[in-house]
Amino acid sequence: MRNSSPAFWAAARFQLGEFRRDPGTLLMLVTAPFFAVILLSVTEHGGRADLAPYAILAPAVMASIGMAVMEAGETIFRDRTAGVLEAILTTPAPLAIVLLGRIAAITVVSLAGIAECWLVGALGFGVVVDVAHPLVFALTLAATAAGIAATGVLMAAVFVVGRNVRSFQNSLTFPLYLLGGAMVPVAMLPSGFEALSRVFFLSWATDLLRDSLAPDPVAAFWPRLAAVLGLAAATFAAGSWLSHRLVRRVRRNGTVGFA
Amino acid sequence: MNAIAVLRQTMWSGWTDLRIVYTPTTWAFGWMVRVLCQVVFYSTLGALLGDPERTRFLLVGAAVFIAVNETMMASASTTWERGSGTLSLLAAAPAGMVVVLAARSWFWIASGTLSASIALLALAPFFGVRLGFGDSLAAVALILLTALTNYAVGLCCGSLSLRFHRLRNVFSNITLLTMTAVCGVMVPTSFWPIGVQWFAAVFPAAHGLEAVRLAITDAAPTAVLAEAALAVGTSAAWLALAAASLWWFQTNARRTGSIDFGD
Repeated sequence: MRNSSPAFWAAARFQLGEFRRDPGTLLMLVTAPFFAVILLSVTEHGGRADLAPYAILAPAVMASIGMAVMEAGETIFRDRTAGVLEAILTTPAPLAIVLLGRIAAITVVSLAGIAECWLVGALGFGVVVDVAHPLVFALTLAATAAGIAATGVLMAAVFVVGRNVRSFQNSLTFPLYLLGGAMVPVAMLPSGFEALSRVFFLSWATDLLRDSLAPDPVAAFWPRLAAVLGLAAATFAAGSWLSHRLVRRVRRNGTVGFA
Repeated sequence: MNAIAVLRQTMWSGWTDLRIVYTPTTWAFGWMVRVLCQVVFYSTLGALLGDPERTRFLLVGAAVFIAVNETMMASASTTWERGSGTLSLLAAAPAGMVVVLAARSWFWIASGTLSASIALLALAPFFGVRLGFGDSLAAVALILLTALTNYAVGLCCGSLSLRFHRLRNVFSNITLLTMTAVCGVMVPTSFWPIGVQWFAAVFPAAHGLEAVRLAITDAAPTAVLAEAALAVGTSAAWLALAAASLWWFQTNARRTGSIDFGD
């Protein structure tokens, strides 16, 4: 990890530059306020002011996970198209660390979606959402960001060998929003879906984030935070293992540029 | 080469593009899974509100808008000629590029109609929407109309995307989400201030969706036809705008020699 640190930071710096060069990569942050308007209109029209925090939190979480997954695919696609992927694979830095650096930068930037959506609620609908438990919120948000970055690494690793990267990356967002309980708690999904969603860190994270906004005491905070962190770590471990295996495979087959 | 031959070639080219975008596997297990999850995502908002009537409203809106979602992808696919390096060849060809660019993305209409119809008919029983055979048939026909009429809006975004290539997905997404917010998809248009209601009425999708809602609730056929006519009328205006924009793009690009240089 000591040797990987420069690669991580270089990748993160490169990604920040990418945002300046191609503003289209910030699409999810452009769309987040629109989703906030859509979801807030539903809760307001339904006369459920108590659900406004859900409608403000959901688009921010959707922007964050959506950006990580979309850019994970785009990163691999662009690097392959530009002929950079082969060069990256010849360096001593593990691909998973390079990807983590880039996707961590994406995730940090994507957190701006929280401020955007809060402002939509406050200025557009007169709904001001307070954070009742700031420490719980901050710790959960940090754990969520780690999980989102780990998910991006896992997805990017899969995309290394994928031919139809773009069609799959476009297809992943809503299944992840649904299974992650972005708007509707997974407890309200059919039981089969709920069981599946419980192995996805985001379902624990969104429940905890919503609880941190409500005035009631947050039940079982530490075990639930441990679940978020544990599942995020498992996701990153799976991403690292997969990228190691798949990189070895495309190197052996000589299909880095053509997979 | 006459216009029909140009259209035939263009449509074949579009069909070839669709086969590159999706294989049967990626369509069924990638795109359709996303479509079903998207519709379920919005429909479960009704469960969260604890209102079965809202659930039904959300299901129909979210399912029909899949057709709108897909036809907005014409914004990106209109620019694919640039990626293929064929844009300047089209500008030089006697047939011109307006007809070709206007027709090349037709496949989104077919794909959108199919996806939206499957989503509506497959998920309706799970969310308390009862559709008889006649209702289903009417819904599919009106979903096709919605996709067809909204294609002109996608094309308008496409004409902008040709100029600002890197923002091709931004144009289509912003337009799509604006329509989703105000066109009666998630909440009735009457929820919004009157100015916003007038704004929503310029989009064919608002009328197409309303026509579907009326048809499956056994409203008078004249009411359904009136909404369908409004969808066609507003779409004609968008189509004229798109054609003018594409023509202007071609003329300006030829004059300035900038046809292969977007952004």
